[in-house]
Amino acid sequence: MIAARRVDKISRMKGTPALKVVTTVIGGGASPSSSSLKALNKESLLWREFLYPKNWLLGNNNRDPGYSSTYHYSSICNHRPTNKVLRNLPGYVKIVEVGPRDGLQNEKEIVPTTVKVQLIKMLVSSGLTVVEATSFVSPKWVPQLADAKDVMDAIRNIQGARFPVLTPNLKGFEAAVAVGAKEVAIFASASETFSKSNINCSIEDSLARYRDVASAARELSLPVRGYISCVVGCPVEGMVPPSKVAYVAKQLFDMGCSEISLGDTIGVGTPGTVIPMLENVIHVVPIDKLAVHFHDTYGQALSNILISLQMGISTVDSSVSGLGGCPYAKGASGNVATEDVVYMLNGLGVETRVDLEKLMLAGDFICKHLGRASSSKTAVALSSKKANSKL
Amino acid sequence: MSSLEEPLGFDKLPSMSTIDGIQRFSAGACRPRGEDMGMGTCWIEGRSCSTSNSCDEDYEEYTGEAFPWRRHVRDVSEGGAFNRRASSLSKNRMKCGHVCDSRYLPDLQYRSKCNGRGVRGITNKPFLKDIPKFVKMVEVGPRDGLQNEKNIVPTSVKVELIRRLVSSGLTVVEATSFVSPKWVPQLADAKDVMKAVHNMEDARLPVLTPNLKGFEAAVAAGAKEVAVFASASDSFSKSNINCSIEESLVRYRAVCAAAKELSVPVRGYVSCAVGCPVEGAIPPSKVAYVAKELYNMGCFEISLADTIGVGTPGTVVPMLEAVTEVVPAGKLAVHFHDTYGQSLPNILVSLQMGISTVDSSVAGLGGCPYAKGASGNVATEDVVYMLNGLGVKTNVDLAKLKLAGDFISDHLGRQSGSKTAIALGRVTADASKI
Repeated sequence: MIAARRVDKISRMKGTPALKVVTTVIGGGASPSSSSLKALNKESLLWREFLYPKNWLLGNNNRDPGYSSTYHYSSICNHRPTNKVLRNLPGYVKIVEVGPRDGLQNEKEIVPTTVKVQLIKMLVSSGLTVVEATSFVSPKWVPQLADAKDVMDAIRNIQGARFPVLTPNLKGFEAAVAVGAKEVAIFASASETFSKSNINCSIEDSLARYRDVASAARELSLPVRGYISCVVGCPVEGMVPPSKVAYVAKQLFDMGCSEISLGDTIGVGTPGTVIPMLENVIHVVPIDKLAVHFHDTYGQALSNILISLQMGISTVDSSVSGLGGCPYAKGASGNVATEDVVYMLNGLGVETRVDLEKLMLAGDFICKHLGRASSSKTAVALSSKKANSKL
Repeated sequence: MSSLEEPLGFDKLPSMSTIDGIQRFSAGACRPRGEDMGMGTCWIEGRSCSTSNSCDEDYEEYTGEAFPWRRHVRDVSEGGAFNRRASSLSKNRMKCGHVCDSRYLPDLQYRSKCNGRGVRGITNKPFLKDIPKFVKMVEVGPRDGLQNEKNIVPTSVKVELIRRLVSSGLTVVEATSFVSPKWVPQLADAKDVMKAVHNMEDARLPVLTPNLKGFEAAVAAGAKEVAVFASASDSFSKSNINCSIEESLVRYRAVCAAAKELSVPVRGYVSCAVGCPVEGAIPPSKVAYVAKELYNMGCFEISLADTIGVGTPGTVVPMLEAVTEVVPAGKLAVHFHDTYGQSLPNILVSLQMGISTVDSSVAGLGGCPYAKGASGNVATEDVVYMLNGLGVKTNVDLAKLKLAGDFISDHLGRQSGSKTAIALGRVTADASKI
């Protein structure tokens, strides 16, 4: 099914003027012929499948092509928004999928390697180009990811995506490289207390460790991504000064990190604290090198992401199905769900090149395995609609 | 030094047993206020129910959002090397032995910057300069929230919920609905609810009235404010209230005329302001048309409702642009559903567009009848948390609000639909096991 907005989107991608032609086929028919269409999100398809039951029964599905343009909620803009509120949003946002690592590492039950690998494959096939695959930390601390080597072996030949892995120090880095890792990530904190309790050393000591990793990585031309945790708040210290975050960001940037991901580890941020933090960091690190990693513990992640985009950030971390709870508030949510982020970005007319429907399949897959419902509201809503439409 | 530690080795941290956030709210946040905001700030037991983001000068040094918990550091006597280490990081805590002393608040509290300039104190960015300093919260839990519940909630529970909501500082609480009990059996006790609440001071308690008959019943039961419900989608209008948009507007003109006679304010809702389950996307111009009609017939406020929660800022902004051309932004409210998790960003852009009234439902009460199992109304606690963080005043006490949410969630036998409430609750639950 092709709709006006998709045609517009193709045109924009190809640089041709927007078209207004609408071609719709409901209930089967010609599938999109152009491979570029596959990259387009399809959540509007799922919307079209859901019609008020009466209409289905009456056969009145409003199949008039002229009608179809009103079905779609993807609101793919065929012009850049002019309102000052949305004017400066990036045209494209890179989504960094952290589900297989940040999401799964919190699971109590060990997830089999095959399931992890299948999840990664499905995520890649939805269009995600960066999927954090695993972590080379001691299995003593994170037994869930003890199979890091096996996971890396299995995904070695997957094309079309990058698979950064966490490396806490030089030893971990070497282990990662030995099994084919082509990109690594390191993890500092903006809170001294959190650094000490989390990785048993001060911020400065951790930075010293990471400089070793960064220089070893540079020798091998491997990119290094730097994470900063507790960029807004720390469970021990409370508020974290933006200047501290900027300091750590600069250190990571200076040592060679290609990207710095700013993590609101306990999800307490709101635009009121995110903005000053970003303003401070943007002062010392170019904005295109920054990513935001919000947790949805207080339900604030999407509004924080929106405000970050308005500030010019164009890389967002998220986790399929919202995998990964919050260890600080038992039962509370953790990572923001990729599906919810993609839904919002689609609505904003921001490119992600992620296929929401395929992403939902990946989410379904892992949730079925874990035996629980998705934490993504978008996924729950769309799945319910699909179920309802089976009349 | 151990190697290969995993970042985020949570098991090594003391448990997240922060306890005093809630205590702190009651101890420090509610203080006698010198001024009456004119928004129905209530005085309870001699203290204002203003929230943690009240702009008392004493709180000026606080920055960050109204983050009502902080780490509870266990008494050193409980042992644990880390506890001692963590304790030593804050000598004050050691002296105090516990963390409830408000003197420690500046170091540890997440408070929104309350310097009276609100968000402008945070940044000069153009997309924030129109954010209002004060947002009126319209609580729809007892009506919009409960009406979707299958099991009938006893009148006494409804009344208690309303009472608790009012005592948290909410000044507008939609109490019930005078529609036929045939359609909404949950609210068949509308008269009894109104009887029990109509004398509640400090809050307005609007009720839904689908037509003149409902209006008359509402007034007879003591209602002092009513609400009418039109749609921007003809299909939805026909399926929901059995008449076209135009026919519904005719009905509501009759209600408005009768209300005018009695000086009863009328609030107008426009449902399907972004999308309709039948028609799909709704043109902003349609929404503007219906909003204008409601405004012209005398509604003092128009609430724009994204009934099925499909909106994102990309569709909300054009809709608001169209509506604000015909109805002043000050007369508009936004009513978002969180079915796709989009309501907070939608509320944020609405504030950026100058909207200053937000509808929400305590504990996120009220599912989505169009997507089974999906969520519905946005949770008031989550909204207040965000507004606190933005430095926007609401006069709502988050701790008391959470208690109201806990109350109704307990009765309904399920978890709150508010992530903020859950996060705060877990933290408190852990703390209480000490």
